[in-house]
Amino acid sequence: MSAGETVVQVSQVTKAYGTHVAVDDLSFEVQRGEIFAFLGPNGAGKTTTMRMILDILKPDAGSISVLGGPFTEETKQRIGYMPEERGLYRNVRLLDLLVYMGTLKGMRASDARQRAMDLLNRLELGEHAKSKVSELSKGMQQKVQFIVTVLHRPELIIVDEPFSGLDPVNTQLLKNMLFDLKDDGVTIVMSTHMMHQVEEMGDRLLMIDEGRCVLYGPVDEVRDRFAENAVVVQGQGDWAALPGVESVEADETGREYTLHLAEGVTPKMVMQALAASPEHHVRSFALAVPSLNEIFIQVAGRNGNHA
Amino acid sequence: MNKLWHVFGFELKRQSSRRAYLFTTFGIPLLAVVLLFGYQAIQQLNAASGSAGGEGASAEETSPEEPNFGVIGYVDYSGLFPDPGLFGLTLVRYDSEEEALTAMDAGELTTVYVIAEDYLETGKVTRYLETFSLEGASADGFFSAFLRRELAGNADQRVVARIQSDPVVVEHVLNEGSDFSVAQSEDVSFLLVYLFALLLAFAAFFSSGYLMQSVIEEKETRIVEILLSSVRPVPLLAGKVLSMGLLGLLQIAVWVATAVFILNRIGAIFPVLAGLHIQTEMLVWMVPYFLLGYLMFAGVYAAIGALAPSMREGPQLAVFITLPAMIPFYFLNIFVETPNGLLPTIFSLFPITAPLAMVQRLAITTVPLHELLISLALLALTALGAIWLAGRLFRVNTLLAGQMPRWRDLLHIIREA
Repeated sequence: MSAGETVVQVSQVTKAYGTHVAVDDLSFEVQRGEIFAFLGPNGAGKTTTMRMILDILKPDAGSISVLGGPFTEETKQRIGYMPEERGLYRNVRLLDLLVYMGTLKGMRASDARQRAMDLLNRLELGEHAKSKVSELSKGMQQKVQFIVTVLHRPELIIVDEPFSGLDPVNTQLLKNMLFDLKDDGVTIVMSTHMMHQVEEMGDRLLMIDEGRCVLYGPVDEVRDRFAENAVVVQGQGDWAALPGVESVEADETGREYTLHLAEGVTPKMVMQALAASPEHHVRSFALAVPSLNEIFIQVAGRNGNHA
Repeated sequence: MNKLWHVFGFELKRQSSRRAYLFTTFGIPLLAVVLLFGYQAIQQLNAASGSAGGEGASAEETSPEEPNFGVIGYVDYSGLFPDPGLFGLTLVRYDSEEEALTAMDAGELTTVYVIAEDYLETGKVTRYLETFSLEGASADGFFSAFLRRELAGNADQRVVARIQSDPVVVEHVLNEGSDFSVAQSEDVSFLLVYLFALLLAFAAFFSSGYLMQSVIEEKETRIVEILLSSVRPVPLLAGKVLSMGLLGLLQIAVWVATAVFILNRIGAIFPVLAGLHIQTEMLVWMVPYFLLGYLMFAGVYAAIGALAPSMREGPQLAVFITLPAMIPFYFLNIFVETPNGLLPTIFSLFPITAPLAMVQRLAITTVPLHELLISLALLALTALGAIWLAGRLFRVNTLLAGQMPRWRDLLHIIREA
């Protein structure tokens, strides 16, 4: 398979629990080698969708194709999954646990042992290989969870809230490992509530609400789509006097101003006016692009939900 | 299929290394054997350093002479013991108390026994000691041995010993029909029934209990979701059932082997148990009853494990099957008195009570073959049903659910699975 190829194809999928429709006619695709962010308020249907991709749950309607075909036992061995609510056997030695999980993913025990030791050493857990899981700190257990997910060198990784409960050091460690995996061509589907992580890491995103798609596309494109006709400037001068500026809004610090532009006026025209004006001194100039957090609140709020 | 064996191997290693399993399987039998031999050793030490009197001396043709008592005098008013005979080196007969006591005053005797005239009726003997001493007191056994021997005349000492102890009754009961059963004395039977029923019940409940615990643990820790992304529910369940079954089989094999070992030797230590006879037939039949009983309980326990959200609810729900299964145990006396009676027969045919009830019967009697076959067939069908039920409930929806489904939804889940 090559980059740009579809790794996951979800077509018109619906899943209901009794009378509650968790996923409603949902379609999207995930491309090889990208970090695909999966967003949505609590109860939006994210986990159900991920479980259907993993063949843990079957859709009531629609179809899902994973890694180029229908789901088989062999497909399972090419996917790594880290659920949101995760745990480990407490009274089992770490290495034994990892070897077991590796063999369930089709690895030979000796390969699993070797790979587990490599990853444990890389995550500074090598000396705990013979320890029981219950003897590890919470942070260490989180790292072990991640090792379980990537142990068998999967082509597709599905991680549900990967950074929840992690301290900043371990968050960075995990983030770096995900970037390394992406560099190696691994496709990552990541569900998270941390919008800045999506802005920083995500290539494309899907936001669902009440089981339906509300936002879908490249992260930058989505943000641009929600951008107002406004610019954010820092500096000195009478901003309201600029041609095409309808109103000026200062932030709480009084150092940054949002200039709302009249219809038909583009940011480029304002920039040219500023360059030509000797009465204005500009330190920074940027498009007023909303954060994903703002977009999330805006979209979820419109649907009557709270993230 | 491959994944089933990975689950099997992992669970086998995980469960067999639990301290509780190792202790119950090997520790308790070892402790029982150590206690048995310890008790025997203490008894032998006591015998070696203690008196030569008592039943030990009377039961064997050993020399009655024991120098540590010194010389004992006796006066016989009953006329039954005119001559010390073989005991002459230690015993001296005097015609009157005065004579004997004078000899004791002179230091010739350590003890004087006076046998009453009506000894045969009352067994009354008076003992005189110069000063109180343990040696003097322990001479009683020696003197008793002399009295018994003389009373028995030239009778074989084994006859004398047998006269002194109760018989070990072996009852032969001819049933209606042609089946012939051998029953032992009630105390011994009670012990056998109690013991083997306990062994079977514990092994079956421990194994299926571990299974339930393992399922609930995976739900509680949420590792089940990671497992389900690698292996389907049915191979996951099957791997667990097989591993716990094997561990349970090993456990009951060790227990039964230890029980047989101990029971074969216990007669030498506790003569009352000397007539104890273990039915070899029972040991053979215990295997299918354990396996099918385990499968039946395992199926129900696994289903409970799949439904119960935490380790607290699991055992509470399991009581609904554990208590009925233990009913034969509450009727032990009826099983001992009439092992082939109506109630024991009904219990041994009804699948839930069959494993315990049948072992309780087999421990002391011969059960007609047709009853065994019918009972096993019914048990096998129920075990299959229980495993089927577990398979229906051991599904993603129940395993990933954070709470117990409502009772009215259960049928729906079973139908829809």
